[in-house]
Amino acid sequence: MGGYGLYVWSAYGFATLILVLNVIVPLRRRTVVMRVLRRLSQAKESE
Amino acid sequence: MLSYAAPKNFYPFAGKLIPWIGFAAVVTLAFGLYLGLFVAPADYQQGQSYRIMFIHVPSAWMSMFVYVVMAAAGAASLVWKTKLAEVLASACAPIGASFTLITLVTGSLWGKPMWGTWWAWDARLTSELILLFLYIGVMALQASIDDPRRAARAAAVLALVGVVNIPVIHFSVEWWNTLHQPASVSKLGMPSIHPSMLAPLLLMAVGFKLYFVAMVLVRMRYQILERERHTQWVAQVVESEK
Repeated sequence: MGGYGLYVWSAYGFATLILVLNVIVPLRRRTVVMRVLRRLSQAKESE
Repeated sequence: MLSYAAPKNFYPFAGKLIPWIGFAAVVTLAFGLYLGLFVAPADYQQGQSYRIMFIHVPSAWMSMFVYVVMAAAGAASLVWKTKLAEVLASACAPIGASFTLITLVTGSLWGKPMWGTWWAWDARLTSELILLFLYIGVMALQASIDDPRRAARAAAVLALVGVVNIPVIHFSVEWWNTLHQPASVSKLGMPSIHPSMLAPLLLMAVGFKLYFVAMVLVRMRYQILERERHTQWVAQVVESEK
């Protein structure tokens, strides 16, 4: 990268990190929401 | 007529779209990265360092585009009180903030070798930093008010006030003497950038747009489930997705 490697790869690395986190976080959040809702519906059934 | 604005219809519709849009995003970004990192030649002035442009510029466009979408959704939610618009506005904020952060950090990493400094308080950089604070403000408002309707209303008002910052960012390089270089692509007439560099730039821009649509739909879907959790249809969804 003509002496600019550290800057270029840091930029690409940081962007990748943020974009991947933005996929993982909402998908995990979705799993949590589903778990809570399932518990809610089970609680309702046992009433 | 089946209304896609009704959360009940939107939920399965969005669920079907997400894998396709996500796949298209991955393919477009991979192709853009290949052209940008391996095919496009080095810049005659900036050498290899200019390759940061292929993420910096598209994410800067996204940081403004997502903000406009968020503010428009906020306005729609204020006028028509539609739940879907409220959810859209709230789903936009973290994604827009992420693109703004990427813009600032990659810009800094580009500025150091080219300008000799990580940061300067010039008009373009400062207005982009204000954009990040606006996103954070919107997210903080949404998180701090328990009632989702009131939270959405407060966030929408802040987002709408902050819209004035968007033209300031865009025109900052023309209105003020800035360290930041002026636009090369959105100039009227011919863009002053070679096709071999323009192609990866546009591919990355399209890829980021597709990524945004896929991720905003993922966020909207679980927010809808949370907000509609007392309805019959959500109970059925929870039952069927066991």
